[in-house]
Amino acid sequence: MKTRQLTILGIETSCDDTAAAVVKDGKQILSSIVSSQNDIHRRYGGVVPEIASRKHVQMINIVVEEALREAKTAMEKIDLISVTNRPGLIGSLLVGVGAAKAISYACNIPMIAVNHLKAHLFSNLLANPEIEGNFIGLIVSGGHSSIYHVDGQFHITELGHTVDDAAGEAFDKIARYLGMGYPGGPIIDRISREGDENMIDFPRPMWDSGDFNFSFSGLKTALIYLTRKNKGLTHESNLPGLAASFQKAIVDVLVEKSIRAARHKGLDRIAISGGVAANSRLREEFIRRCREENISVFIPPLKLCMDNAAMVGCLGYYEYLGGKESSLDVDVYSRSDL
Amino acid sequence: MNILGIDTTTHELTVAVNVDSSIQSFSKGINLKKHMVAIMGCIDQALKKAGMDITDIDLYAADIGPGDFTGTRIGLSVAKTLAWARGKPVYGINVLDALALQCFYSNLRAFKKFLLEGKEIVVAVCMDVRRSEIFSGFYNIAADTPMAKLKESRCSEGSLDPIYCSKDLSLNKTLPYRLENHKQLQQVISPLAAGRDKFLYVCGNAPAAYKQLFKQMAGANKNITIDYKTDVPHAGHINLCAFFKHQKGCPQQNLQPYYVRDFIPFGGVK
Repeated sequence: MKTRQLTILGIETSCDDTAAAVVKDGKQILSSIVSSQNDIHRRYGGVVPEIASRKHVQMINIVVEEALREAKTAMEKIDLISVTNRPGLIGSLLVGVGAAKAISYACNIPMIAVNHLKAHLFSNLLANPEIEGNFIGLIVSGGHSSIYHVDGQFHITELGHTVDDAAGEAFDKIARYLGMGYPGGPIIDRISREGDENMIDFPRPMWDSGDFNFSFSGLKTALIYLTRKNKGLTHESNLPGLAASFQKAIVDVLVEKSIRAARHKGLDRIAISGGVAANSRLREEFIRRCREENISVFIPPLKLCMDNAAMVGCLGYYEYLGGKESSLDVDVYSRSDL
Repeated sequence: MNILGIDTTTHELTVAVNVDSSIQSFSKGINLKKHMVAIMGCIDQALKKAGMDITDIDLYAADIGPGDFTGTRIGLSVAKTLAWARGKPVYGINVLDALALQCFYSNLRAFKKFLLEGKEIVVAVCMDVRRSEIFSGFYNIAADTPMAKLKESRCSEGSLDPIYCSKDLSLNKTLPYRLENHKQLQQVISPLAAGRDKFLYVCGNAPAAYKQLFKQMAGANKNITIDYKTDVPHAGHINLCAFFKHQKGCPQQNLQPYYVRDFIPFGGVK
C-alpha cells in the first residue's frame, strides 16, 4: 500500500460514544478520546437514540478539543478529517458529520466520510501495522456479527452475517433478562469466569447451515424457556454457570465459522474486531483453536475493539491515499454494506 | 460586526449573513428534509452573496428551538463547531424570541402607529410542539417601551429563556398550553386584547396548525390579529437576536437544543 505523511483527525459518533482521535500516517495513535454514555443508558437497559443524540451535541466540541490537546497538536497541523457517516443511529451520526463538515469548511481541510464497519476491520491495522491484506475479518459487536474476506488490495467481500440479533445484542438482552445490568457483554464475561461453561449444553445455532451466517435469537429463546421451566437455574449460585454456558455457545459458533471461512478461502489469517472482540473467552478460544488449526489470529487491544475514532482516522488515511475524498454535501445512512 | 446565522428548526433551512443589525444576504435550503446535505452549500452561498468568506465572520448564531430536534441538532453542531474552529463566539437563540422580533419588523408600520397613539401591543408567539401542545411566549410592546428598550429586553440575560426575567416586560411567562384545555388558552390570550387600547398579534406556526381553535379565540375581537406569515424563524432575525445578546455581553454557553419537555422513553426508567 502507498504511504504518505498525514496527520488525521478522526471523529466517530455512530452510536452512543462520542469519540475523536488524532492519528499519524494511519499507524500511530497520537490521541484517542472516547466519551462513553454507558452510565446514562444503563438506566434504560440499552441505548436510547434520542438521549444519545442529545449527549453528542453536548460533548462533540469538548471531545475534539481534548483529542487535539492530548496529541499536542493544533487544527492547523491537521491534514485530513475522517468521520463515520454510516451505518449507525441517524441522530447520532448527524452530530459528528455536522461537526466534521464545519471544521473542514472553517479550516479548509479535506474531509472523508467512512464506513464504521470497515473502520472496525482497520482497527487491526492500527494494532499490527505490518498486517497485509488477504485475511478473514470477523466484526462482532452490539450491532453487527459478520465475516468478511479482505483481499490483498484491502477490498472487502462479505461472506456471512447474522440473520437476526448481533452477538453483543444477545449478550445485552440476556443480561437484562437475568437482571444483571447493562452493558451485558462485559458483565456476562466477568460473571462467567466463576461458572462451569459445560453446565448446560445450549444449541450451537446454524452450526450446520453450510454458510457463514449466524443466528443468536433462538439461542436467547432457548435460555429463556429453560429458565422458565427450571426456575432454580436463575438462582444466584447457578447464574455464573448459566451465563458461561450461554457465552460458550456464542463463542463456539463465532470461532468455528471464522475458521471455516478461512479454510474455505484457503487463508491462514483471521483478524477480529468490534466490541465483543473484547470478550476474554472469545479471545482465548480464538487463540486456542487457531493454534490447533495453524492459523494466525489478530486481535486488537481492548481500547481498539470498542467504538473509537482512531480506527476511523486510520481508515480515512488509506481511503484518502486511494484517491477518495468526500464533498460537503455528504449525507448519513443508518444502513450500509461494505 | 459580521454575523452568520443558521436556522434548521423547521422543514426549511435558512442561512443569513448580517452586518450588525442589517441583513446582507440570505440563502435557503432547496433539499427539504435533508438539512445535512444542504447546510454547507447554503452557508457558502450566503457568504459569497455577502462578498465574504468564513474568516470574515465575527459572530455565529443558530436557533435552539423549540422545533424539530434532529433538524435543530444539525444547525447547532455545525454552528458551534464553526465558531469553535474559528475561535469566535456563538449564541443560541430561542425561536420564540426570533419570531417575536420577526413579527415586530413585519408589522412595523402598524406597531409604530399604535405606539405613537399610546396603545399597548402584545405579541404572542405560539408554536405547535406536537402531542397536542402549544408552546407560547408573550412579548409586551408598551407605549413607554421605546424600540431600543425593546431590543435590550430581548437580550437582558443569557439564559435559554431570555424573556423570563426581563423587568421591562409586564408579561413574561412562557407556558405550554394543552389543546384540550383551549379555554385556558382563551383565558390567557383574550384579556391581552381586551379594551380599546390593547392590541394583540398572534404569530408562530400554531395558528395555522390549529386554525379553528385560534379563530374561535380571536372571535369578533378586531384588536386580535393573527399573523400567519410570521410562522417559521428566519436566519436574519436569529442574527439580530445574537447581535443584541452580544452587545449586552451575555455569557456564552455550550449550545444545546431547547427541549420543551423531558425525554422519557417508552417503557420508562428501569
